Amino acid sequence: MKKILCLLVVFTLSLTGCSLLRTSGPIVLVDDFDREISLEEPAQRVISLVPAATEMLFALGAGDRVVGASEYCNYPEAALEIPRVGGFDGPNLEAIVALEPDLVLAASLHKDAVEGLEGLGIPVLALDPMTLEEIYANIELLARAIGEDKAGKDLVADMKGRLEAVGQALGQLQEDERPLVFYESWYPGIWTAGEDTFISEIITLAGGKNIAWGVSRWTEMQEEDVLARNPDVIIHGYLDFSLVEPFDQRTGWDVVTAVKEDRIFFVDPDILNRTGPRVVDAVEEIARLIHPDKFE
Amino acid sequence: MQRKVKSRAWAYLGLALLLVLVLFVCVAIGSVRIPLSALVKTVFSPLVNALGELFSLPAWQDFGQDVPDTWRTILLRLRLPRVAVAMLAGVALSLAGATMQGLLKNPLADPYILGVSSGAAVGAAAAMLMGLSWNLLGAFAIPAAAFAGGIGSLVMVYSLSRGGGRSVLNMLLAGVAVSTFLGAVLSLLIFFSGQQLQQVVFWMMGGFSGCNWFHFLSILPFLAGGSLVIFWHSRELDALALGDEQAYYMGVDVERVRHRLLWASALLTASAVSVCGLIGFVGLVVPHAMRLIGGPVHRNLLPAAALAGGIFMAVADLLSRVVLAPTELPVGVITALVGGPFFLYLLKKRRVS
Repeated sequence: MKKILCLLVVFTLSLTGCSLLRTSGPIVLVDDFDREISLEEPAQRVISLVPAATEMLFALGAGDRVVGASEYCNYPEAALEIPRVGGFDGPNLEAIVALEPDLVLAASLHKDAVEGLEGLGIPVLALDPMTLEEIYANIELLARAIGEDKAGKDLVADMKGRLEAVGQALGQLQEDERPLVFYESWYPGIWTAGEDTFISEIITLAGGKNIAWGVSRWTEMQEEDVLARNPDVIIHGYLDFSLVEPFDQRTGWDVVTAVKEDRIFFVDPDILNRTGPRVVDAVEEIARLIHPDKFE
Repeated sequence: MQRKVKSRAWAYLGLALLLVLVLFVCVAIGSVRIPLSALVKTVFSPLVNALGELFSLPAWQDFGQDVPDTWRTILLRLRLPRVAVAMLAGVALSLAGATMQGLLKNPLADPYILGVSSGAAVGAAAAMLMGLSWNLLGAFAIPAAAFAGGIGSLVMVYSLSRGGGRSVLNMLLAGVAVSTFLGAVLSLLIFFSGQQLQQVVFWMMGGFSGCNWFHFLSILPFLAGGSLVIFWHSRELDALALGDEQAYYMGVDVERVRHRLLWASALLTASAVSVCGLIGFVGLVVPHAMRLIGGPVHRNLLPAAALAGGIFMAVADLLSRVVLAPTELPVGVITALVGGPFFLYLLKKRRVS
C-alpha cells in the first residue's frame, strides 16, 4: 500500500512537472535519441557538427546564427566562413566552449562529445534522421529551437511541393516503368544503401527502384547479386575514377544493362548523402537522369 | 612401416579429393541461386562443344548455350577465381604458419609474428593515401605495395636481429619491436587518411570480395616458389626443431636453411596478404590441427597443412558469402568463430587419449 502511494505521488509530481515545463517560457525539445532539452529562449549562437544541420539552418534563414561548424560543413558557400570546431578526429570541446554557444547540433557519431558537452551544461540536440519524414521533423525541431517555427513549416511545405511537382512530371509509373537503380557508395567491397534508407526513398521518389532489396542500412552487397539483379542505371559519387575501378573495367560487369547502355551517372554525394533540405535536389536530379523524356 | 606410408598416401589423396570437392561446392553455392545443372553445363560446355564441332553433332554443339550470360559470368569470372584465390591464400598462410612454428620453436607463432602483416598494412595504406589505388598501375598498385611492405618489414627484422648472432629469441624480439613501430605508423596513416579511411579499414579487415584471375595469377608464382623451398627443406626443419646445435651435428647448415625458410614463408605470407588483407587464425590453427591429427614430423605435416589450409579458407569464405546474403560477413570473423572452438576440441580430445 505504501509503495503504491509512493508511486502515485511520484506520478502526479512528474505530471505537474511536465505541464509546468510546457506552459511556462522555455522551449522544450525532444531529439532523435529521446533526450529532452529545454532552452530558456530561442538559440542565438548555434554550433553545428553536422553538415546537414548547417544546411538546414541556412535554409531556415538563420545562417548568421551558426557560430561554429565542422570541417565538412561546405554548403552554402557562406558556411565556409564559419569558424571550424573539428573534423575527422571529432569535435574539439575547447573550441566549442570558447565560442559560447547556447545550442550544439550533433549526430549519432558524436556520442562522446555529446556527453562531454552535457557535463559542461551546454544543451545538445542529437539528430539521427533515417527517412524523409524524419528529415522534415528535424527541420521543424531546429526551427522551434531557434524560435522560427513558421520558417520551418514553410521550408517543409516547400520541399513537399517540389517533390509533388516531380511526382506529377513522372505521372503514374507502372512497376516495369521504374528502372532498377544501383547506388554505389564505395568500392571495392561494394557498399550500398539498403532498402530502409532515405536513399532508397529518394530513388523511389525519382521514379526508380533500388536494387538493394533484402539489404538493410548502409552495408556491403555482393558483386554477384548486383550482376544478377542487373541494374538499368548506376548512380555513384566518384568525381573522378582515379581512386576507384571504373564500372566498365570491372570483371564481369559487361553483362549489366547500365554498363552496356552507358547509363552510369554521377550525383554529388554531398547532395545525395546528406539528410538535409537538399535531398529534394537529389530527387529532382535523379528523376531527370533516369527519366529524361518526362522532363523535356 | 610399409603400411604407414600407404595410409599416409591415402590421407593425402583424401585431402586432395576433398579440396576438389570443396572447390566445386564453393562455386556452386552463393548469394545468387544458380541451379547445379547450369554449373555442370558451364564447366563442360567448352569440351562438349569442341567434340560436337569435331564430329559435327549439332546437339553437342548447342550444349550449354542456354545458360544465361549473367550466370556464366558469376560462375566463371566471379566465384571460381574468388574461391581459387581463397584456396591459394589458405595454402600460403597455413604453410607459412607451420614453417614459422617449427622454425621459431614457438607454438604461438603465426605467419604474422615477424611483422609481415603490419608491414603489408602500412604499404597498402600508403598506396591508398597516395591515391595509387587505381590510376597508376591499375589494380596492381595496392597488392604490390602491400607485398613490398611485408617484405620490407622482414628485411628490417632480419637486419635488426643480426647483432646477437640472429638467434631465434633475437628475431622474435626484433619482430615485436618492428610490428609495434609499424603499427604506430599505420595508426598515423589512418589518422591522416580522411576520405580514404573506409578503404584502409576495409582492406585491414581482409576478405576475398573482388578477387579475380589477375590476383590468382599474380600470387601463384610466389606461392609455388615459396612452397617448393619449404617442402625441399622439410627434413631440415625437423632437425632444427631439436635445437640449433643438434641440427648442426646432423649436418644441417643452420644459418642458411633458416635464412631460406624465413624468406620463403615471408614470401608466402606477403603474397597472401597482398590480395586478401589481414585474415587471422588460419596460419595459427590449421597447422596445429594437422599436427594434432597427423603428428609433428614436417615431411607429413607440411603437405597436410597446405591442403587443409586451402580447404578451410575456401569454406570460411563460402560461409562469409552465404550466411548474411546478399550482405557479406568479414571472413576473419568466420575463421576465428569456426577455428577457435574446433581447435579447442582437438586439444581436448588429444588430452583424453
